[in-house]
Amino acid sequence: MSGTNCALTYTAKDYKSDTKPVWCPGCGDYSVLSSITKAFADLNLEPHKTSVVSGIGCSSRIPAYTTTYGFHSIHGRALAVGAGLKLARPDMTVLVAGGDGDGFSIGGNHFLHACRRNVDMTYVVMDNRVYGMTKGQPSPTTEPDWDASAMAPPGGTGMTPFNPLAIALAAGANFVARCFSGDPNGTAAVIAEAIKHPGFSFVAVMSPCITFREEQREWKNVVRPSPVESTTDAAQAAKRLMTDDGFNMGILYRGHRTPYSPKGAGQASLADLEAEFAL
Amino acid sequence: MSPDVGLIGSEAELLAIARAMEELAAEQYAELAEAFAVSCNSDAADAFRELADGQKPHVAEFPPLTGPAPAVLPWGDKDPEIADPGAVHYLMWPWHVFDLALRHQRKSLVFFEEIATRSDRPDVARTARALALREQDHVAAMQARRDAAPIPPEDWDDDPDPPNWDM
Amino acid sequence: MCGSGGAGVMTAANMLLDAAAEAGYYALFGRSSGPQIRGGEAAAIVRLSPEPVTSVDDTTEILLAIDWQNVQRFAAELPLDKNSVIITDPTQGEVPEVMAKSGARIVELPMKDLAKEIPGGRPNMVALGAVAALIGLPVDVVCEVLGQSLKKKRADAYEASVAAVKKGAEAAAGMGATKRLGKLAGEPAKRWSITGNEAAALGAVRGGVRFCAAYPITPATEILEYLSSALPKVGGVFVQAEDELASINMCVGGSFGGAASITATAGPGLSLMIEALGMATASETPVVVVDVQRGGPSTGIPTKSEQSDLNIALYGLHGDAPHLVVAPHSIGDCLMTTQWAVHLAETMQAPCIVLSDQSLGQSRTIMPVPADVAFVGKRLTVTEAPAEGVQYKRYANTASGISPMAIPGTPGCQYTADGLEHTETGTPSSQANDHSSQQDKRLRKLTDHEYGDHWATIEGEGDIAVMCWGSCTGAAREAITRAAADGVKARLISPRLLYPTRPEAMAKALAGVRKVLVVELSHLGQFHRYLKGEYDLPAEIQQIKRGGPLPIRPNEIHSRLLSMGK
Repeated sequence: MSGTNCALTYTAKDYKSDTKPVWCPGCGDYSVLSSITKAFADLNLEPHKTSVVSGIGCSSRIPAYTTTYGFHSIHGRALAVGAGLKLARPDMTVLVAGGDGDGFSIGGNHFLHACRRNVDMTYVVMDNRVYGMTKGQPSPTTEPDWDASAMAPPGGTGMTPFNPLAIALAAGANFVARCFSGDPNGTAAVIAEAIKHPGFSFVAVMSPCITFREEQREWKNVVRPSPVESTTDAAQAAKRLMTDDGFNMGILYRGHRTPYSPKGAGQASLADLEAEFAL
Repeated sequence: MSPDVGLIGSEAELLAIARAMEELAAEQYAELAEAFAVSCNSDAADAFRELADGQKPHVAEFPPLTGPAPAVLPWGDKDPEIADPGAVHYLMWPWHVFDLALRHQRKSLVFFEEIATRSDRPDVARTARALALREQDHVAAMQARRDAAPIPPEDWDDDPDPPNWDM
Repeated sequence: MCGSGGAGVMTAANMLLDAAAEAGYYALFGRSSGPQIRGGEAAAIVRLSPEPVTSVDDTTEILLAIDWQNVQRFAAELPLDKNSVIITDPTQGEVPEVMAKSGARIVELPMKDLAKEIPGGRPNMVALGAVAALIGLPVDVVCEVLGQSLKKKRADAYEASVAAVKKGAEAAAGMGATKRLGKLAGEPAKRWSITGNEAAALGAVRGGVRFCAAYPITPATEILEYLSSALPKVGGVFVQAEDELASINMCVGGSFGGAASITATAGPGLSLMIEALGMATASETPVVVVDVQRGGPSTGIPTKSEQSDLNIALYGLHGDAPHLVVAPHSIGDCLMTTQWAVHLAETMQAPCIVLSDQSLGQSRTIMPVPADVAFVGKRLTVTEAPAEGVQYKRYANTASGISPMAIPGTPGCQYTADGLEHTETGTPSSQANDHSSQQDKRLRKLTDHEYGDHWATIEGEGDIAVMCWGSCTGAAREAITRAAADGVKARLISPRLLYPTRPEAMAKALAGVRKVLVVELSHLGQFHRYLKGEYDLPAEIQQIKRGGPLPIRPNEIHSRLLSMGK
């Protein structure tokens, strides 16, 4: 993560490009874009030293709406692309963004391993509990009884929704939080903390889809700030999650794991290598 | 939305906050104007653009910021003039747009009135009263603007076509 | 018809289509839209005819815009000329320069104002009435169709819509003449209204598919949606998987268990599925994948058509992995070809890729009732355990190359299916003779099969041949008809079976041909390279090739034929 350059102070606007988002007016992703750019500004990150990497889906369109080095990659593989970038260029600040479909379905395997590997980057998932881009199929975080989709059987899938925070914690993520797009300032503050925190930081942002899940407009009446402070004890955090109803907002867990950095700062020369073959 | 009144330590701070509120509103309206232009609702886009432009003289009434913009606004986590995502609909009519602005201005009015009543600093309270009076004028003007706009028909949000898709 | 979200373009166009269907006509209906999920600009492109149609036409004869918000985006897809008529609402924006300069006649129709005169009236219904009247579609039929869809919902909406349609029809009287619908030859024939994706899905069920694992992707999702409701109804199973890797592997598992299995995807998904298709090839497990091709490469243009997945479908598997590849010619042909694909995959115990495309998959047609074709997938299975002491040979090297397959649950025939090369009993082997005999067998089972006339559409005579495949076939056929009227005779050769190749049959089809015109929607000319690599072609070859999104229209092929015919 780059240090602040006191000669220049950035505002959120500096990270927003001229490209107009095609999201439906009222989409929670507009707020998340504001929160991310505000977080960048609060940390005074240099736009050219920052990267936003995404997969495929409505929320994955976000890189083009920023002035950072963005990569709109392929479905489910954003974490892999982002990790590759960060490992090759530890000097860049890497933020990976996407939706619940992209991140927890096809991207599920990469999600597990990103948490384990603990590369120093931040993963923001805009969770609207539906596949927006392909006409509203159930996603891994969809409630088991939601059946308003042409591909869900009547009565819903009946499958237990994916619990991203529990999975992240169990897989070893170093920072776990949940936010709500209806509170852009609060979300910005958490994202900034997540970026600052070393290792793999996971922020799940509940971001309503007003086109396919109109009932999510009610979320603003249901979410609440978490009644407890964050913990550095993974077991404590796990206990809280077992009785969590999914509407507690805030930072759940801040871990102490050392961020992953591959070994090897050797000084061998080519001649050294070649010498090995000489007879 | 209950302001942490004790946090406002001076008149200058209050003015900075009030200015920030107006600027934030201007930004929100401008962003929505663009979002509606992309969604092919030019009537709503024009209405939001009118609101955004209307903010400019409001902002100009305040002294320019001498320090950095207030980092955390003291009304907690909900900005009074921030656009509530739930209140926006891609087919909304200008009447709805002005109604949205009206509701948020009423919230700002309540905000300043609370400070005026509860602040224990006389200069802050006095300024808050002045700001509340100013906001009352804005509310009246916006009400008139809304009432002058055509009333949307009952089926204003009826889009016979299904949502589109992409990937 | 075009306009922005909320204007109801698609609804009006669908009603026009339904009315034309009711009146006995045939049709082709496609749509184009902006990237927004709601509110975006949309264009509905409708072609109506007293005879069956399988191709887009050369120009847009009538272009009606309910409003012009961002509609200039569709200019290239809506070619206009001086015979076209543009109908515009003067209060809803200017006709875009790029369209106006075509020389089309511009006519004003104040749809919004006319709609306002009716309580609850909508501009798109006024538009519908006007267009119906202009082309000669009886307004009564339009109202009949309105009744079918609206009467149950809200009676007042029905009344308002009928009034608006009639108002539009009245206004049309003063708008001058436009192209009109041809007369029907006799009573309306029995027809179907169906999209390519629906047809493919139905074909699969007809073919005996009873298992589908799915992952949504534009423009294939509708196949999966249809199967999601249809399969349970016929005792089958449908499941949404977490990604394409999971969906194809689930299908192979289901097929191993005895169920004819299918999934559907597009280019990016097919790329992910390739490894599993290799596994199906090596383990001789039947499976069908419908690839609804879209603009590539990579994420490409998801909502537009192209014919650029031919290479990966034919040659994408690592190793020497012969498998089946077929391609439907038209929307209706998606039904028969997918049904055939299931039959072929099950019969030959191999994967079959069905190459459809977005222009077929997501377009709707009113077509003659498709013929009921006899084949249903028939897997050669084992019903009796082998004799005492004899091990079951899953991969028995039979004359046909097809080995009887034991379905799990059959006693005495347990075996392990394997991607590893194997002996006849399925034991992994690195021996040269096992590899060569199994490879011969896996190839022979495909090449020796009797595919019959389904392998290609071959029509006409002459020393010029138009060679194309998939969705270009309709345009080629129309072009050839026009060229014949101009005195240039040409044949149409459009393979439905792309792999295995049919050298003898193709040689017969090309007998007497001196010049070939290869037509395809591929920037690199994938079909041309395939033809040159797999078949013997005459020396003189011309091409019409480009990537999507614009379809190749009959006039392009027609004019090239005329120049070749000189």
